[in-house]
Amino acid sequence: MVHALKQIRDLLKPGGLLIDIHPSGEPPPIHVHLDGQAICVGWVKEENEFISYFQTDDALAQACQNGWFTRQSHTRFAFTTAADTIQELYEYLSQNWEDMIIEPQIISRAEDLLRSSQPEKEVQVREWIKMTCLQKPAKE
Amino acid sequence: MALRLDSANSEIETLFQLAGDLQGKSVLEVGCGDGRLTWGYGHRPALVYAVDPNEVKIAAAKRTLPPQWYGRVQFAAQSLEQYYAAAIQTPTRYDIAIFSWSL
Repeated sequence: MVHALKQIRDLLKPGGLLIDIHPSGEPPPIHVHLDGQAICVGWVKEENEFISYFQTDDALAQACQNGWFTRQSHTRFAFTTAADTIQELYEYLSQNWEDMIIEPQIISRAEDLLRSSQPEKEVQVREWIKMTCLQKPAKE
Repeated sequence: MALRLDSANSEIETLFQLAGDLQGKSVLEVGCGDGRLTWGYGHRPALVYAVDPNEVKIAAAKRTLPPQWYGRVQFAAQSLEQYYAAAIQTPTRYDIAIFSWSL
């Protein structure tokens, strides 16, 4: 990771910006929304990937300690993935999120709620995502 | 109804808050996948070069690329390592680099 940051630094103009976007590592909750009401049915688990999120934080800090960048700003935002069925959501997540786990009882709970006759309904995963802005020095 | 990713546009709004409006800038995006993030900001920079080692996703991004963006926005199936090896030999340098869920 630190090596990649060095490469990016080399490819930026003096004073150029690096934006890093990565998950915070907090377990993302799964909600079923029924006519505006949000019901939490559980959380997505990860086997190991959350470790890499903390390693990313460390790599960014190391890059700043090395003098390659200065940290300009950072924040976090909620990224939601929503679907009409838990099967659709699970299928998408399993294709795009390598080691994610949703326990069977969570899937059952969501399915039961989504059988509701209410017209406005969906199931949603909400991840907290960190975004950091680093700046390469204007002069070497 | 299709899957809905970030329907509140939180990611792209936060990007503009931190990086500025990207108008006229040159942008290198690492880990672009099928272009999900690129579609949100790609209309603004003067140049976007977006890389991802996943050939299937890059093929999807190329199919979806709006014709009016041709030449200005490019996708390539490359790792950062591969791109760096070629790009470092050239004078091309960027105003902004984005690690899109990929560091």
